[in-house]
Amino acid sequence: MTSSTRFLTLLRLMAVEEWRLHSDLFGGRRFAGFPVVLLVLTGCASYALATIGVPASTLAAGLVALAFGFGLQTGSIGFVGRDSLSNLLGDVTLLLAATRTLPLSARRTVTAFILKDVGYYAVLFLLPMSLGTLGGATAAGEPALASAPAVWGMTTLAFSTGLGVTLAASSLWTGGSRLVRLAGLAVVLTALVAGLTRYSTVRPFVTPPYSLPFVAILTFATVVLLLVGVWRFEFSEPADSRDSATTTPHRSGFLRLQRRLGGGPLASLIAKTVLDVHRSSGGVWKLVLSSGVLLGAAFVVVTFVGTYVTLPLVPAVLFGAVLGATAFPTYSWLTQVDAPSDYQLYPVSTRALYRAKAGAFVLLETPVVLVYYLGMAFFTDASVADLALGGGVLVGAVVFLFGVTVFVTGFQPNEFLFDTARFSAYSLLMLVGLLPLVVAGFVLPALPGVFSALTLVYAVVIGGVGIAAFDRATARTTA
Amino acid sequence: MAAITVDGLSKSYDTTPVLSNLTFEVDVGTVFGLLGKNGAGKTTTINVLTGIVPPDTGSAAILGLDPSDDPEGVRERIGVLPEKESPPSFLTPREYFSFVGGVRELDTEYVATRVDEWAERLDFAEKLDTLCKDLSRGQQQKVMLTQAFLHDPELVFIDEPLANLDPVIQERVKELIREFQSRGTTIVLSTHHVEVAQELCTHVGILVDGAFAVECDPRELSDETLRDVFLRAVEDHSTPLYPEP
Repeated sequence: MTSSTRFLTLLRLMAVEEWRLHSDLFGGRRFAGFPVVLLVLTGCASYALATIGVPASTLAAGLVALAFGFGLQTGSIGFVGRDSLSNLLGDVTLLLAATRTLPLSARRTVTAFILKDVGYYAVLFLLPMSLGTLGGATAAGEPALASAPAVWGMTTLAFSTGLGVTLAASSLWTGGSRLVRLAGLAVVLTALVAGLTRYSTVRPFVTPPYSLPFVAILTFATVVLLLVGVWRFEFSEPADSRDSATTTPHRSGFLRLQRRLGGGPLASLIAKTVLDVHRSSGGVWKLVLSSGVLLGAAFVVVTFVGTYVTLPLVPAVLFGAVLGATAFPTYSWLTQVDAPSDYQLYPVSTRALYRAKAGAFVLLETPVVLVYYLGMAFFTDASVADLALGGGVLVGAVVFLFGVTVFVTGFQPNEFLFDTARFSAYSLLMLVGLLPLVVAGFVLPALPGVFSALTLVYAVVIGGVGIAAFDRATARTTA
Repeated sequence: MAAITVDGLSKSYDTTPVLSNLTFEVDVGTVFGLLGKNGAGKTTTINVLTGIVPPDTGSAAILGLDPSDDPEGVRERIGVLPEKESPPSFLTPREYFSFVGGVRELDTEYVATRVDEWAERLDFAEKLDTLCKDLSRGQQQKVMLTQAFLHDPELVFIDEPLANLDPVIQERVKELIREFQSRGTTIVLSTHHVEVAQELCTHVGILVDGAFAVECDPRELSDETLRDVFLRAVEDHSTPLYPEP
């Protein structure tokens, strides 16, 4: 078998493996229905935006931006790769691990894994989202479906670029002189953005038809980023090879935290979760990055919508509502390393595990949202009253989304969001809960003052819903 | 007096029966060996008795508690060393034992003293502050063994306790098992190492098709070894790979 045939076989088997992984978790039909749900959701959103005057080209550009953000998020595989992918999937072993036992080059295997991921996301996510976006605009009266192939191609390219950026950054993060290497990456990215904006008509993202030089530069940059990411991708080494005196001693971080939290079972469980996040690759910075990517994507959408809504915004309220969405990535990192089955050796109930996750969530999510919220306060001239209102909205939105995430996804937020039924339920709950707050951020200045109070009351109510959903989730597991 | 009473336990996964009307008792202060071929139901038996999975039918009492009704109550009083489990990757052994002490509500000083004793005897004192993910399989096994006995439980389930350990440490673990037994601790030992079972156990049960085909005291075997008994028990029930024409 030639090396190229071997590579293609590996790629095909990885695609089969990915399908079986998800269809085994959710059932083939439910997984296959996922793109249909995406098509419907993006179609509805696109139709709504098109009817308020957003042109199809802008919607397409927004989708490209979202795909880029999505790629950034997906590239965080670079961080978890270092801690072994088995952490993500419990007892499941992926073909990716075959490099340890078979004569397969690690770089080729990772390349196949990335290509498979790009193909999967391109077909299952980006294709239905491109069709939905342009179909929605077409339904609203602006024929745009003809540019679907071009938009799909560009979203796939943007997704790959985002994936390449995070993968390269996480690969450069390992080893010494990381600041120098990351500074180098920053310079390259700045040059890339400068080069791209020269060829773009709407900065920083282009609209169809795309110019050839733009596509060429972006493709070249993406290939370079992916090569850097693959070149330095680190697998976890087998434990035996690392059992040496060179490993760094870690002293009493757990004990200090356990004591500060008051000792006992709950404090022990919280401290373990916090240290799992802190000591796994990427540390607590992965929370900041995930939330930042999500906020960036939300910011792009809000900016596009804001262009077509002529009212003055209330950034604090808008930002508070959008920050609520960061509860999802934070919770998913908290559940990345362990599973309830890991605790079956001890006298620990599932309810206690959920409570510990909630405690760790408060400890880790609070500084992340606080930094972003204060950053927003610094860069805008929000009044104290607006900041207080936005703060209330932020707390309500975060608590709501945390509770709903636990309720819908249990301990597997990443895996279960590929379940069509759960994804639909989650999207609907998120829409019902957060959309009124986002809308309030746009329209409050035009409304009487009493609506500010109502916004706060609504935030308190959805916060209560979040707590109730959390309680229900824990009761369900103990029933 | 029985530490474990199992009556008519059955368990199937989908349509595959794993345990079939399993009935036995384990007396306090004995070392009970659970033997059987791969897939015979040893791990399922332990999982049912520790409350991890419920049985389909039948009942079990562990130190007087029903593991299906009160799994946490059972786990509070027992220790478990599963075959596949590793200590948490991102804690050091010392931190992990503090975690175990925390969830078991043990005194901090008591935990520190016990950890020092075990680390000394199993020879991993210099690894106490290394992240568990950076330990070898053998070192991880020592950590898991320690957690199972940390709270001085009345009953311990240990699945392949000697796996990945060097011969010196294997002997020390055997000594520890004998010590605990002499102090009245009941130990259920699941293993494929028939010689180890013969050496340590006061009673063994050989699982075939979800029930004990043979129950015996290996110390009373005179004409044959436990390995002979085991092979005869499982071969009586096996299909030959190349049947004679």
